[in-house]
Amino acid sequence: MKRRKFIGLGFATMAVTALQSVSSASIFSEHPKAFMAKTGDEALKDAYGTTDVMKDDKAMLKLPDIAENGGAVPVTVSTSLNNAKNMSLIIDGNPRPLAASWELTEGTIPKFSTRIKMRKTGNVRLIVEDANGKLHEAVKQVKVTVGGCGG
Amino acid sequence: MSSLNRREFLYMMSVLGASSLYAKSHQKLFDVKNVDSYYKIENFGNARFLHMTDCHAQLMPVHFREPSVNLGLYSNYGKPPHIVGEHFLKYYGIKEGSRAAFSMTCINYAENAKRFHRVGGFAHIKTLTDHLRGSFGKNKTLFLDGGDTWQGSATSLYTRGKDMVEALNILGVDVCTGHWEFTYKEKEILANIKALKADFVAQNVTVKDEALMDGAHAYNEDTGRAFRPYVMKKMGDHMVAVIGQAFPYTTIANPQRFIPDWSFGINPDEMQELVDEVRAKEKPDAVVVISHNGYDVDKKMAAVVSGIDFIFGGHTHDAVPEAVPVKNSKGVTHVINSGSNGKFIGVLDMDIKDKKVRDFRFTLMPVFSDLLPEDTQMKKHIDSVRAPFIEKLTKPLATTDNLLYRRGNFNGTFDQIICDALREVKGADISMSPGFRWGTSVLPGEAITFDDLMNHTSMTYPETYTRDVKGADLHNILEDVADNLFNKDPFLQQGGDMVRTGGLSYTIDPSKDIGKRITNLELSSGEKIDANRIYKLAGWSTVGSASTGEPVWETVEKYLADHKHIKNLKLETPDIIGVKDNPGIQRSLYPGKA
Repeated sequence: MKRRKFIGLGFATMAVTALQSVSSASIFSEHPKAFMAKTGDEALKDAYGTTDVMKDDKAMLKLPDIAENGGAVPVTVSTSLNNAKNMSLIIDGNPRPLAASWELTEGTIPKFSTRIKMRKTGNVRLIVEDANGKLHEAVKQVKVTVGGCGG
Repeated sequence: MSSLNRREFLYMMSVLGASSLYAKSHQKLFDVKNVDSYYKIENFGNARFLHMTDCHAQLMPVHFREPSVNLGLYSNYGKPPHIVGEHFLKYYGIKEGSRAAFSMTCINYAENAKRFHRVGGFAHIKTLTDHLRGSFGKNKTLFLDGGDTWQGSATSLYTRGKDMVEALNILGVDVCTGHWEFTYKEKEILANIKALKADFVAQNVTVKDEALMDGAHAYNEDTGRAFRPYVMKKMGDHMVAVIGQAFPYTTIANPQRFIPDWSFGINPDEMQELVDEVRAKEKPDAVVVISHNGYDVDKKMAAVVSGIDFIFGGHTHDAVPEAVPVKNSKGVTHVINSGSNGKFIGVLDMDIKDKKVRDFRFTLMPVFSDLLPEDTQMKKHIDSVRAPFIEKLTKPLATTDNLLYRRGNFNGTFDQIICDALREVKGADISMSPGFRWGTSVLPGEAITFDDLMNHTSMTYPETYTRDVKGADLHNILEDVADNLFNKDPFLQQGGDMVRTGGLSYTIDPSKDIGKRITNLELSSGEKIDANRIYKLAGWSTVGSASTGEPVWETVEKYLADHKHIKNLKLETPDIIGVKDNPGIQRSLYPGKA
């Protein structure tokens, strides 16, 4: 399939997913405070009731080392876990660190790409909640520069 | 083919004085006793690569002083290319005052330059590379250019890089990649690539999704790659894959506004996938990368990606006379960097057998313009390119008592003139000029021509600015740029030098983390910088959006017309902490505390 068409399809799929998320029990409806939390750990605590995470290779996070544009940093999140329940993206340097949360219904391929806004250099964290309610974490630092002088 | 005759060979050999001690160098490079050596080096193996990089559009022979400060920290402390001056001579066993020492170090530069004259120049390069190709076998030789080829001179800007595309075509380059090439507009770049006879390769440039949706052209819509990622080349009986790696931070270090559709990155995972795919699908006899990553980034890429035989690197302008081995999970990748400004041609001969590179010889060959005759076809091209502008280009703007140069981690003397000009002409407290690594040298006693000035300023975003900046923000700018240069992780190094400052002095500890490297910010009056006070800052070359002031060469031209003669130039360099024994600094040539 041509990438152009595939991307078009992707947009359509995303719209459907968003509808599903709203209609299911989501972090946003059950834990409205999480998205307003001022630190990543506060958001975690509110959304999952714990800040205990396992740093393993189950959560996968793809981000550039240095952002081309802090206003739109491309990120891809995924997990190798079967039946994961939820994935959340936390940007520690932002005023409201919880940036996105995905409810994974049965049959969903747990891989999403989106753009995030980053105020400054800092860690981006992906949290994946497995079928047993345990949390898995991937962390990556992304640098946001004030302007380079390459040469 | 060559227009080099025996007498010229003999002359070359007698004047090159140094023994070649580097591992895997061709025999008798600098220690030539027999007439058939020097530029006619001993052939080795069955495939020859010629490598040129970062010529910065220097069609004419140049003076280019190598750095007296090129600090390496952490795992790169004291490793090539972070060895300069006398440390370099000692490390490589080169005799002071020899041609090799002149071409690769800053030691007695002005004095040596008067003895050995200019280096590089495309008419001389053409003679040398035709000779190196002809003597080995045209069908077994491949010529690679690592980019930063279409920018850096007045004529490259006036012709939007076209003069260099034609020069590359005449030279017979086979494969290219880019960096400053991407500072022209997207349409101009694509037209230039079309006019280029060589293959232009880059695995790490993609078309942004939204641009694809709008119908932007991609080389491959499935992968999103904007350009051909690799090309297969026949070398004698063997097939070699050449993968391209453009400068990964083009859209951060240079403006995005000229190329809004394209996204860049190091993309090591994609590089690994590509190497594996090429190895499986094409069954190449060897895999090489033509890279514009920069030396330390290439070394890290060589460590995390396996399956590459050689990386022909550029960007950081390092003249390293050996191929440095880097271990990775499946074997060894050798990293090469062949200097800048047309000063050198890297020559790599490989012995390939049974789909393996069994052995090799590498030699970094200086291009001495007084020893190599000019190629007439190239000379004609250069003359025709320069003819419409020749009066302006050769116009003397001022004379100088000081050796003028730019290259080095901190202010060079030519930068100092730019910084002084910005402050004086614009009435600013402080001035800043980017830490570019291009920019040629002017010898004491010579005139500074418009050509020389453009060699330091010629680019597509030369506009100047003045603005009010808080003391705290001045500090932030210095910290940010220092982190691009000295970050512990090479993948976070952008390959430029430190921003040049005028009217502002500071102390730097390069080994600290971001936010903690820069201290003691002072105005040149000795007054401390107040974090909350507003200062008037003048500068040029804005990456974000275009500034509105005149191009910086007009600012400097005015300054030089007012002063007429440069003397007793006061070089503003920071005091550096923790580098006393670092072989990346020639302390005898450093005016600050170090």
